[in-house]
Amino acid sequence: METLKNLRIALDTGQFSSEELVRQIYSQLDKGPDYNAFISLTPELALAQARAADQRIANKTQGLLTGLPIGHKDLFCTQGIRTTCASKMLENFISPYNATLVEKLAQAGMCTIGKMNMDEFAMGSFNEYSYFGPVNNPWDSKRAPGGSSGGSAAAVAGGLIPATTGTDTGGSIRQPAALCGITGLKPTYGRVSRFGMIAFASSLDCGGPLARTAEDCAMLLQEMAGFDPRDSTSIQKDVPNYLLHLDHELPKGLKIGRIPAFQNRHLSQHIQGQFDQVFRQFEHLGAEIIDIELPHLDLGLSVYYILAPAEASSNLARFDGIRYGHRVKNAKTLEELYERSRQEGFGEEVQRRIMIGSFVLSSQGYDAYYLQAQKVRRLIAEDFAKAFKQVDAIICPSAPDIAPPIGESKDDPIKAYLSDIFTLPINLAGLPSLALPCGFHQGLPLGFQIIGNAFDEKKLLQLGHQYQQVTDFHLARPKES
Amino acid sequence: MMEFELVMGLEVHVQLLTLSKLFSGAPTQFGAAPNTQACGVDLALPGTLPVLNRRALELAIRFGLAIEAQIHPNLVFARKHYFYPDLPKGYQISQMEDPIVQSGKLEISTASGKKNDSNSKSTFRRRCRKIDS
Repeated sequence: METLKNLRIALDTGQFSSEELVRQIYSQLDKGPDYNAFISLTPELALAQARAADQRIANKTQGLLTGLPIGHKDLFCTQGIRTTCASKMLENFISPYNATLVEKLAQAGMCTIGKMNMDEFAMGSFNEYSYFGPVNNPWDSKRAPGGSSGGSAAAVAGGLIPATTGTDTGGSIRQPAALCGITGLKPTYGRVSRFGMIAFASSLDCGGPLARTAEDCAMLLQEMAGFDPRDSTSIQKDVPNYLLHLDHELPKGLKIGRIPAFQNRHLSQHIQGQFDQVFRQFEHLGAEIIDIELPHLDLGLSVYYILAPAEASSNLARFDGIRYGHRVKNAKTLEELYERSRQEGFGEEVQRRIMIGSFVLSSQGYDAYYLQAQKVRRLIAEDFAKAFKQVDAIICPSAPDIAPPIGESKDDPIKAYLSDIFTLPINLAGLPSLALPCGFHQGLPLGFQIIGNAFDEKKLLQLGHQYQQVTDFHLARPKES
Repeated sequence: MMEFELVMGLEVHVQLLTLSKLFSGAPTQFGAAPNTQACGVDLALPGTLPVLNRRALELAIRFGLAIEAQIHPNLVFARKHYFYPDLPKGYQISQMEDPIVQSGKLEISTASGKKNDSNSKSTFRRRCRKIDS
């Protein structure tokens, strides 16, 4: 599958129509491996959108994304199409409205190919906790694609679709992007509306794009970003032209921070050397590399696994079997209806996090855990604020290791949680971060991230694009696809 | 016999005269047809988010000024959790710390005349805004 950029050129020069492109995607899905990346396919909608897009292209009123295909992570509400969150609880839930992000991309003229598989309610690091079964990594189908946006990442890596949407609460865009060898952006908290994005942890959740290149991510962010009166945490701030300066060389005197102590502590031994070349590339591109220290980063994991479950336990209280969603049969009392509907409707990881969250918010847990975690969260954000007085961006790995075999981490939740050690602190600080592929180990992709100060997406995309001009890791394809 | 002083406290729930609800755009018309006064936010549909009613906030501040209260510069809302069939979200959105209006007072007239001394003024401990099911 070509990049969005190249597909744009092909559509605009009449090499093929959007309808032909959409049909070709479905026929490939029919024939080839689908990695279980999709939960639902929406050909009727996609073809109608494609025909409307072809009309716009014929009338020369097309925009940046008109006629290009997209898949939405199955926690973005889509009107008339089921939105499951990969949960039995919402197996047959059909939303009466569109998420803002879905609406914006549809108005831009994109064609919704389907809804992507994910970890149930976005809780998981390897896409093993989906009611609809695990997703296979296109680089090795016995391995996990990462999570929670595992379907979104695998579909792009496997060449099924040029781009998808995902959400990133603690790394759920960047970690699967790394493990699948693609590019993904977690925007600044508040840059993209959360309205219609089914909440996991409201203070951390962030919607964003997954695609082949930084340039494609820029195209998508251009239409995704912006204030939404329906989301009071979205920011009233102009959306810059993310594409305008992508081709420019890095600004003179650009400083990039490296966090050697943190990186070496958590990166697997066998890939330690692999990231040195990333810094060398940026030196060649004209950046100065500066070693920095962010003393509270190691606490990110503990803080995250207090705050995210706390917010989740609150956000998931609405799934009670009363108005919509799974309802148990033959309950004799109200209590029993609640208990058994939630027991049957939620999978093990979701239940685990609801229990952790309920505990840390309880009267015996609140001061000791929740309040302390909030204070440490502030310290982590201050670490980043101090660092960005010294440097323009920070680079570190996106994940501590290559993609593990499917099922390996299920017996050891702490080990699975550790796979997000490099990404979690960025969500706690609300910052943007762009994940890019940077090499292979044993034939499996490795990725790094460029972290920026709040609303620095434009700079990150330019850095990422420049890096991808001098490297070709983003062009590599798995054999099967 | 010991002398007792009567001290009474009242918890008053007031529905404000706004065109729409405190956290949603749904109308609030009394006696309207069933199912016309609710929207996705009220039903706690997945993905919906609350947006504070500007007019309700204005009315609260106006009330606070009328009773010489402190108006808190920041609004902090909390979620009060319990399961109940008429509580769609599983929580009420309420104010715990730093309610918008705090420590107001109101002068009252009684049979023995207007009371001016601070002892006979009614005080408002706190006024919070919350969603009621």
